Amino acid sequence: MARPVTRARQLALVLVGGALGGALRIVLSETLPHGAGPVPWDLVVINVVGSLGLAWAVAFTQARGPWAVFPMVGPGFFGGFTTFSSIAALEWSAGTSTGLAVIVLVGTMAAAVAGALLGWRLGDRPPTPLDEAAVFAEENE
Amino acid sequence: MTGWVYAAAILGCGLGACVRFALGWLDHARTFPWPTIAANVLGSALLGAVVAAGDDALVTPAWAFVLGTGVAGGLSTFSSLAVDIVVMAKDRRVRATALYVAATCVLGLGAAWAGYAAVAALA
Repeated sequence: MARPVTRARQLALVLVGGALGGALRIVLSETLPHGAGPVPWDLVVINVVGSLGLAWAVAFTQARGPWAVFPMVGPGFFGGFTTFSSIAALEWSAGTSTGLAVIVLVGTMAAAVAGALLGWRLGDRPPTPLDEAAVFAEENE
Repeated sequence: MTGWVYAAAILGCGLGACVRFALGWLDHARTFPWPTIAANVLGSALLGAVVAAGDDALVTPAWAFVLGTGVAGGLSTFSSLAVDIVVMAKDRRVRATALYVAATCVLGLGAAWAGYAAVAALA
């Protein structure tokens, strides 16, 4: 079931959206205050806001039907805007203790999930039953 | 850093996002979002390696920025991670949610360590 044209178009959308999301992340992380301590508050804020945004977009398209540019908005923009690697590598990039690195990772996940729950609630209009397989198919994962 | 470095990092982020998206094509079952775990593991290993390479002056700060903040940043993601947890939890898949969270934390931190250790050992 190879559909090269469709897949190439999806990749182009993801490339554009990912570049835009990455550009915004770089601009924000250079303008937001880092704070004095080892916790990268700028990245925590970016990840929570991005998780809220993606959940809103996924719930919105679940309720209102497919969105042709979703690969650019979801996996592209919000995927490129948020980042996991900088949080996971904190112990080596910022020289934190293993304990603090784990706390920052788990804390960011909890805050991002809270943001995603809020985003889902905002986007789920009208309230629509969740179709888990459709979400994973839409996000291509 | 020059404008070209920022432009390369932004393009790298887009390319990283494409690799992450393409990983999803390998998942035919669509019942457990392991491609996101795989993308976060690969991105964390890459960033760990880049940090070690920067510490040992194997790469310039500009290349570390392009590969780390750009490619690894775009390859890894936090938004799909959060949405995956919400979706599986809403479906009351308690064990799948717990497995997903545990695998992401353990494999993500482990990959960052492995990437750093591998390059540090070579240098």
